[in-house]
This record gives sequence, C-alpha cells and structure tokens, in this order.
Amino acid sequence: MKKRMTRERIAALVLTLAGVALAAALAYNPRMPGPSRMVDWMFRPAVVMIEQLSAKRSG
Amino acid sequence: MIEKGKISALQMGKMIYLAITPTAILTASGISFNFARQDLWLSPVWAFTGVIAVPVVLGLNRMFPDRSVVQTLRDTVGRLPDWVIGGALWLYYLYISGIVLREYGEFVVGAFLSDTPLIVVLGSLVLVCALAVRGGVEIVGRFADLFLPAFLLLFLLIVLLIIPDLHITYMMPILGDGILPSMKGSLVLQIWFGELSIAWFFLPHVSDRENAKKSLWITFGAIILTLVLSNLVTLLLLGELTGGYSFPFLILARYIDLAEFFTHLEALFMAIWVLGAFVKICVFFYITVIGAAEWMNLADYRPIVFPVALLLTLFGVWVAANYQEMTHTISTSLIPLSFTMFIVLPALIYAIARIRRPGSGNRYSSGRTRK
Repeated sequence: MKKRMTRERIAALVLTLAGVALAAALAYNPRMPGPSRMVDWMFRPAVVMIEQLSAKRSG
Repeated sequence: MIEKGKISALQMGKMIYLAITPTAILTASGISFNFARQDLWLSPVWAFTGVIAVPVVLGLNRMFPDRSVVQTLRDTVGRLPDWVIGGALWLYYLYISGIVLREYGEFVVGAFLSDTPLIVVLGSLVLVCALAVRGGVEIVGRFADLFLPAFLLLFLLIVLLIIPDLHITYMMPILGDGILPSMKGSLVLQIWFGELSIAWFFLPHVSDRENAKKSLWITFGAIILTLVLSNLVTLLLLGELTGGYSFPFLILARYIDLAEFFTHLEALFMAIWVLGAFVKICVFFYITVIGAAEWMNLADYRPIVFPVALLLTLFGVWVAANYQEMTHTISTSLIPLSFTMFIVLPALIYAIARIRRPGSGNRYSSGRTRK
C-alpha cells in the first residue's frame, strides 16, 4: 500500500515538474513552436492534399 | 481498473453527446462551408468515422467487458507495444483536450470577456473541471444528466427564434455540383464523429450494458440531427458569409430580433456554450487522467488530477499561436491524426484481438485478474 502511494506521489511530482518546466519555457519564449506544428509536420502530405481540396472549392 | 464508479447507458450517451456537439456547433460549420458551400447542411449525414467507431468500441467491449483501455491494450499487443500505444494515446487526449480548451477560451475572450487574459479563462474552467474529474465518472455523468436538458432547450430556442429570418434560397441549388462537395465538407466533421470512440473508456463502467448499444446508436443519430439542424439554420441565415465567421452560430444568436423585444440573445448561446464546454472538457480531461494513471500503473488517479490540470491549461495556451493557426490545424492535420487515434487504433486493436482469439464473442471475461 505504502509502495503504491509512493508511486502516485512520484507520478504527481513528475507531472507537476513537467508542467512547471513547460510554464517556464512558455514564459521565456511565448512563440515556442507548439504540438500542432509537429502534427502538421507528421501529416504533411495529407495536409497538402486537404489544402488543395479546400482551395479548389473556394475558388 | 482504477475507476470503480458506475454510470448508466443513458448517462454515457448524454456524456458523449455533450462531448461532441458543443464545439461542432461552434466551429465546424464555418470550416465545412469552405468545402461544401450550399450543401453544408448535408455534410453531417456523411458520418463515416462514426459508423466505424461505434461497432468497433462495442466489439472491443464485448471481447473485454471489464477491462479498461490500457488493460485491453496489454491483453492484445503485449507489454512493450502497450506502453508505447498507451503513452501516445493519453498524450493525444491531452493535446485534443488542449484544443477543446483553447476553442472555449478563444470564444469567451473573443466574443465576451475581451479584456480578460486567456490563461485566466482557461485556468478557471480547468480548475472547476478538475474538481469534477476528482469526483470520478459518476460525477461527470451526473453533470451531463443535469446540463443536457438546458443545452437542448436553449439550442432549440435559438433555432426557433431565428426561423422568421431564414432565406430558403440560400440552400439552392441543392446538390448543384453533385454529392462530392457535401462529402468534402464532411471531412472535418469526421474528427467529431470519430470522437464517438471515447465510449471505449466509458463502456466498462456502464451498469446496464445491454442498453449500451442502443444508447450509443441513438447518441450518434442525435449528433447527426443536431449538426444538420445547426448547419441548416446557419446556412439559411448567413448564406455565402458562413465561411467568413469564426463562430457562425454566435452570429445567428446575435441576429435574433423578435418584435424588438427578444434581442441580444448571444447570452443564451454563451450559456449553451459554457455548459456544453464544461462537460466536454470534463470528459476529455477525465479520459486523459485515467489514461495517464493506468499507463503509469497507479492504484488511484486522484493524486495526478491537479498536475494534469496544470499541463492541460498550459497545453490550452501552447497548442497554437493564435485562433487562425488552430483553425488551420483543425481543418487540415487534425483530420488524419484523429482518424488514426480515434478509428485506426481501436480498429487495429479489435482486429488483433479477433485474430488472436478467432470466434471469441466474450473471450476475455470479467473473471480475468491479470493486470
């Protein structure tokens, strides 16, 4: 039981530290590239295809 | 399973309805219009991802009735792949919760609280959601019970009051360029219909499992109907201007002017939106927390609710530089990503489970205790 609670405390601490680090990074550089940029990069061919579909229709 | 709470099939349906429609009503019509034009109202009918998502999650739940999502992954793909997929899954839910939260923030700041910093708007909602999520699935389910009637009532009131201002000619010519434009318009809606697969997380907690199938299909039908109605009234009021607005349905609420008495009803829409967004964010936040806790093999998810709340608030800010960038992401790269995570992944897990246990209707019974 005690071991379990320790595990949860560690998890909470790690997540909090990740949050604090992200907050500090965003405070230091608010224009830091976000996860959407990574998603755009991962699905680049699909993005280009969808953009072409939209452009054709919008004229 | 970490979560011990139970909900009814009806509550699950209400939660999923409120986890999909609020943002779909708010932003999807403006994005869909660029593809579908006057056939915008028809786009929600092509809900292909929903047609795949519902049977897949029901099938997964039939095979693993009392196993959570991470436990199901462990049973099907084994230890190491389950760690990778489980991690990707909760990070994806954190990301998509961030997008939902940002949509809420942009709407509230852009339309109503223009002097309030975005982080304050996001942080206050996440704090309230965190308190609800700490209460567990039963509390989130009860919020859906409580807010759905108000949501529907206010939505229908806006639709009824705008009827005198609608122009039926804006939807002509119906299918003028064939069926394809309306199908292209449904492309972005596939994100929202794919969200039906979040039922995977809730089905193990449904007490009356025999009604779950009916509840999910009815929810699916209700979502299509709501979107057809909201797209139709938006199109019939705004016509060609629909694509030019970030939140077309808000313009609709602002436009209502009945006998110079019923005016400025955007407050009604604000009420709809805040109630709906609250349940939506609670549902996605809950899934993120449960996914993270099970991935980390924790005995209780409550200790990590507030740390994840902090991460979620920051993701709400970080997810995109501005609203335009976020709309671009939603209408382009989020479509294949959501298709992968909401549809391909559960379908693949289901296929693997079927191949490994051919003919198994209920092979992984509740008696299994392996963690």
